[in-house]
Amino acid sequence: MALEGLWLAQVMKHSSWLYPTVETMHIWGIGMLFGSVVIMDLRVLGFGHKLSLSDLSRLGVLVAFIGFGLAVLTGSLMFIAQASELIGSRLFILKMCLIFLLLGNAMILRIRTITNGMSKAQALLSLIGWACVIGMGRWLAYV
Amino acid sequence: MGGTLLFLNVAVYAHHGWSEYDQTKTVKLTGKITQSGYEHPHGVIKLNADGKSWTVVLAPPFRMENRGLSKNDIANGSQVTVEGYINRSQPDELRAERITAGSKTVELR
Repeated sequence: MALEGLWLAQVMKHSSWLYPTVETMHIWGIGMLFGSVVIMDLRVLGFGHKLSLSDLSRLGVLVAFIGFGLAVLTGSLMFIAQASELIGSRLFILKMCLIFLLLGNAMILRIRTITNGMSKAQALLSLIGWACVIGMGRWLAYV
Repeated sequence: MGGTLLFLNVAVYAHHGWSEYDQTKTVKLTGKITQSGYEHPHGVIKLNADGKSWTVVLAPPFRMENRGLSKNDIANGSQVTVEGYINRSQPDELRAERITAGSKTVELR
């Protein structure tokens, strides 16, 4: 695939330290994103109800955004190093689709001002969904 | 650093996943390298052996280096022997468990 001919893709393949460093940073991003998401979803589900949801999500959404950005950036770098293999992987495509679905879910959850049964269902979907995204990423290495 | 390497070890086999390879049958190939990639996430060479061009999946560059298989050992035109398992869905792809280049044999797993 043409992407793999890119200068950056070649650097990813051939530099000794870059690939493992990018992998490590991908996990930093996942940690920030998933950590914040778990806390915010649990709050929506009714845990820790003494904490103000607006205060909690002000910080939580920021950290989640930074984490997501880091994961997308590092994920893209790993992608271009083996684009032809990944694009042919059903699991990879499924992972990307699930990420888009969960982003939409998060946006709707964020826009809505009241917490109701629907938002609890969305928080549950978010918890399970992001856990699955991580699992799918991990399994990409084995299937 | 140790953590990074450990992670690297388990992370790099994207799409050369373990289940795809027929581990009930070990295949040994000897031939000439026509294309060499000492690269992330795992090394890969093209090998002319048994009248066919094989894609041979090696190990992450750090592991190969640590075990004494240098970039030069698997340069284009080198004669090597690899031993490993064939990909069930791609019959010309072999995942090498070990490689012999010159006088040294290096375990890749």
